[in-house]
Amino acid sequence: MNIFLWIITAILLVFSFFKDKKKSIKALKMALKKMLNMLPLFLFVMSGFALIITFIPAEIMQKYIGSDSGIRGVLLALGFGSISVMPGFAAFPLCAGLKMQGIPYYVIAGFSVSLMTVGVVTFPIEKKTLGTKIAILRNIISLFIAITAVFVMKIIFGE
Amino acid sequence: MKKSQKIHLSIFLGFIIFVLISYFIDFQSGLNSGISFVKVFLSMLKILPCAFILIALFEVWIKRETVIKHLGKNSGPKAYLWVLILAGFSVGGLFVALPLAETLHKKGASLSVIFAYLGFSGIVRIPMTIFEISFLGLKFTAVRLLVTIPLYLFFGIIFGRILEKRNYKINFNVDE
Repeated sequence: MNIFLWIITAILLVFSFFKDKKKSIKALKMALKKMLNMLPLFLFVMSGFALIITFIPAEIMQKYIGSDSGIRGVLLALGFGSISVMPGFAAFPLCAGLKMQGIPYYVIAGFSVSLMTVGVVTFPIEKKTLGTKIAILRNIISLFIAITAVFVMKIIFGE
Repeated sequence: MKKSQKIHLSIFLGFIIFVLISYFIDFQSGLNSGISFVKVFLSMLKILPCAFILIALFEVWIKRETVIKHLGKNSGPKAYLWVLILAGFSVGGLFVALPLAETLHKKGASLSVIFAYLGFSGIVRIPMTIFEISFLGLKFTAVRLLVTIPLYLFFGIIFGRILEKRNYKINFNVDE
């Protein structure tokens, strides 16, 4: 997987340089700047993650959100996803870490999709613009879409 | 440096100190957390540069303005495709999506198109998606997109039609 990613990046980068050298250098600078900007958050998330996997035993994690946790694990994932606000830059490394711990994809999907679409914390802003009723409906529908994603993931990955 | 960055860095520093102290007092669990940090960090290091280069290449080569230009008064099937692409450029969720929805509204987009856009902006953000592919794999991301895009399209169309019949208006003047 990693090699695949590097090859694609390299091909696109070469192609980009071929078309416009100036733009490509700008892109590389932008990439470096973004990465440095994100580094503190990243280090923070990773250290939090290291503490979690060390001090919360894998069995406990498995019990609550592992493949045998059933509906409860999915509900926990959906709940956490809905109430938290987290940039993808922090969320996906966290998801990858959970995967390393043996947490199934469908639970991860429950967390990541509801994180992207259901906004309990951002609800006040949405309420102001769309009105309370519509904002609530929109979030409930988003939650159902997240649940659908969980089901499809469960079928496709068969975990 | 932003305030949040300072907070994150100081917590990270606290973590380093904790691992060092664990080392000196022979606290095995503390030391283990340091080891897992290094492991995870190294594996991420193999992915991160690629993810950021891909995101930057995307931003340099495809301009949001070009997409907005194409969003005229047409609310036919093409409009949904354009808002899908437009949503790819979203960076900050609803904070960014709502003002853009206003632009769409002024350009004469239907409520269906606007609600489809609001849905899309949560799920197809390109930088985020690149990050997701890098960390969770192409299959995971493909499944997620194939499930959520049609559902939000469907939801947007239905929702917009119902609301248009009820003369619903989006209130964009939230600052008052």
